[in-house]
Amino acid sequence: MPVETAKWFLPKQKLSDKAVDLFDNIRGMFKTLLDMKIEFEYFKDNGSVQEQVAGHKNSVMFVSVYEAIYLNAFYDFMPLFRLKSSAHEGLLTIPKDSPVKHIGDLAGQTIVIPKGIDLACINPIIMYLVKNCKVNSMPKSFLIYSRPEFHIDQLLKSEVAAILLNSFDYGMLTESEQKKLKILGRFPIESDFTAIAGPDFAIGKFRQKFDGWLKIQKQECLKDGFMYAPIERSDDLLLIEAIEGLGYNLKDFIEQYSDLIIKTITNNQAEDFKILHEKYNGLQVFNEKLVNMYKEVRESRDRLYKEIDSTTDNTILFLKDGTILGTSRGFLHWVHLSRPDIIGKNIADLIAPNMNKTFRELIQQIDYGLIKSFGVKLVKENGADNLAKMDFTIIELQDSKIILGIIGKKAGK
Amino acid sequence: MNKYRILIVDDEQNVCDFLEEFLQFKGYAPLKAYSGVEALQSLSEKKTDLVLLDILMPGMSGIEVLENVRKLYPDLPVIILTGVKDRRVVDDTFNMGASDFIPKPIDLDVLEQSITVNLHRKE
Repeated sequence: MPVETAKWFLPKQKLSDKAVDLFDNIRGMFKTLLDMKIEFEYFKDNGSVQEQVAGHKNSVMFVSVYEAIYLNAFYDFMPLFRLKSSAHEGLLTIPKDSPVKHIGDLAGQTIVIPKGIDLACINPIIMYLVKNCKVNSMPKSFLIYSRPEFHIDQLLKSEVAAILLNSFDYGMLTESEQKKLKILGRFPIESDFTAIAGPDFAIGKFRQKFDGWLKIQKQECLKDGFMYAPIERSDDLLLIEAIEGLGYNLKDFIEQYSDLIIKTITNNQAEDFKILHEKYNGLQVFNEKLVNMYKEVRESRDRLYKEIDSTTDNTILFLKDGTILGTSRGFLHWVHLSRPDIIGKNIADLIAPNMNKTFRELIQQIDYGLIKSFGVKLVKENGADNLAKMDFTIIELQDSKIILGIIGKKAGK
Repeated sequence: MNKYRILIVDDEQNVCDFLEEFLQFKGYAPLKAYSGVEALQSLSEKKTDLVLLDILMPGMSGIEVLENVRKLYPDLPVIILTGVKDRRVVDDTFNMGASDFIPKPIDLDVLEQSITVNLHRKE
């Protein structure tokens, strides 16, 4: 049987020796796991990255964490693994019995961000907290002793609502302290990269073998300081909530400014600080433009959410990837859940098509314009009372698409 | 029990594939044709109980296919599935003997009901 080949796309620039070593290592990993050959190819100057990648069945590339979320949501690309540049990650920590479920619930509350935790890096989570919360910073002396008990006490006495820790500090806490805490979300504190594959890649086979392979590997740093790590879906949720909470539009972020971030993997960061600095400045300018641009969309979207909330129909608004944005009270009543329980969740976790197709496949057909309605049922309940017909409409807001679903007639009613 | 054979005629593979799976799930035996010529060829070779027909196709249009079907198989139900919403086109297809007209995007409930009704009517 011929060996299958994957095309690994790279930005068109000279690879440093360290990057060459890294890709050699990846080539070996694919050979071991899938008996798959890797061919590297530079992106062409003309044509979008999406178009070039879409032309190949087994296409893989490194992108930033944000681009991975975007490509997954809008182009059905699937994340394969992460390449972490630090063994540690950021943890947004709250008391175990806290009612906070989303980063948005922290708005207006007092939180603690210790000095020295990744403030030099563009990070939507920290930006959201700085912009929307009352932030206490840990005094320098606490950093020196690196024991955050003082703020943990504040947290447990409800004097502050959350504290940002890194996983090293969290590991320093006693087991009894850790039991009193809950981690709302995790996020990278360095510039991690995600290997992402085109829609036709044998993702299931890869993940199955990669997880096993990772377990038997010692987590040693590769030559240029990176480590392999599995994809954790929960990582993305906190980032998406923070980006949305800041009023950003991820689609515009990537499509208009991809040059700012997509090419960083092949740069030797220490040797090429000037380029990184320019990119950082570019991102700052971009942020200002984006916030202004997004305000207009946001206002119309807020109006839409408000309308949806008060409508008497059983209505739900969600993104093409299934992420729920808003619902009417009628819909909440039908699914027997409260609004905070379902906002940000995936619609496929609540309702399923009453046929041999996944929700995602049917949404693709709706987006394609072939169908506008199909039968659905509640995922966690059985019985004819939970069958219904659902009609869908695509709403285009500038460059993004939102899907409006309305529960029509219910079976037996 | 023999399954009803339903011929899907559409030049878009995605449409044919999706409807094929939908019809299989509903217990029918779907056939596919990607052009008017293929559709007439299939009808001449395989007993068919109903046709789902797109209008806009390269080469022989759905209207021409409908004309031919009416001449050759006067009792065969033909349901038009199309994105064309022009009232005159709707009237024309009914005048030419279409059994039903279902606009795209399709309401799958409506499609299923129309298939059931037209198969019963034929019998």
